[in-house]
Amino acid sequence: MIENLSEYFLTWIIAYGSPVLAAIMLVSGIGLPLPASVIVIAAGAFIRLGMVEAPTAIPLAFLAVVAGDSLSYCIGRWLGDRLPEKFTGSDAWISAEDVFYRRGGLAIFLTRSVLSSLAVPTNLIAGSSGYRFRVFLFFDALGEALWFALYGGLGYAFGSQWEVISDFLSDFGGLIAGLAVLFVGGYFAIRWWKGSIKKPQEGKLVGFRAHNKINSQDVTDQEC
Amino acid sequence: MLLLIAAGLALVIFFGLRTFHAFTRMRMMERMPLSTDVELIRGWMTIPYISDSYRVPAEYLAQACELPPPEKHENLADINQKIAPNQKGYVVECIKDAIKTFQQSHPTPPAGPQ
Repeated sequence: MIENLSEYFLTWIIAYGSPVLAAIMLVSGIGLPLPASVIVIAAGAFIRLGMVEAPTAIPLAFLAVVAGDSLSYCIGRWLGDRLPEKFTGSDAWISAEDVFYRRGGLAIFLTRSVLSSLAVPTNLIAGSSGYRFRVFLFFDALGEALWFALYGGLGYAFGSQWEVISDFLSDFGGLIAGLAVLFVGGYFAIRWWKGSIKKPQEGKLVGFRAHNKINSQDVTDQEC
Repeated sequence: MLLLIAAGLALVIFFGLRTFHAFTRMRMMERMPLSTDVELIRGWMTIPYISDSYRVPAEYLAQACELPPPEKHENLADINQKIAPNQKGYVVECIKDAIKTFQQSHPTPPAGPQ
């Protein structure tokens, strides 16, 4: 009896091809913790072995994962509108919004490929902070295209030995995520030690929503 | 923030060791000949997949291991559950042996999995 859920996915992809691959990508983009990177590597290998047709699999899977990311962005937007003011009005929240406004594109792009374990939280933060959907979609599509090219390309190159590279990439991704967490912790520790966490002053940027004078009703109606 | 640093350190150590082991395994695989690597066969694989990967006729595999005609989505683990539920891994090992036997009697191309 196969113990690992991802092994069932692999069997279904072999048996039923592109629609199953696309469905997995969609659900993964929405936020369910599926082994999407492993599946993309395997899909590359399956294309090499002729078990999956590239002309249908690649565009379907790409569109599905972007659609899933967009849905989780909308979930973040829906949640953000309903969070209590004591959270969204706090200094920490406003600072996070400000950082995301300035660096959000890079964060979205990197979390599709190198830091893929942080992709769904990034989608939710993007949505809840009011980050413009068109900009999110642009960086999301760019990042996902790179992710498919890198991971799928490695699976294609390794062929039937794809599991070896998959294990390495999964662990390497965890290592990168750990380094990112360590870096963020160290950054805040240094700031605290220097005593230099600033409060927003009147007249300065006080968060993405205020900066763009966005209210939730306008954005929700137009973009989700 | 101390929690972040502790969590980051724990992740780096845990995944750092795993990455190292995976990397050494990759280097070992590079040195092994690509052909006849039946140790890559897993329970999630289907008969048609193995037949294509190792270029061994599906009928040969089914006959060698006395397998019933598989359903489209039936993998080796499902077949094992059907014919030998008390012998975990029986079908996988049987398929490996069948492929080795076939490749001994058919040494000419293809050399092994793609």
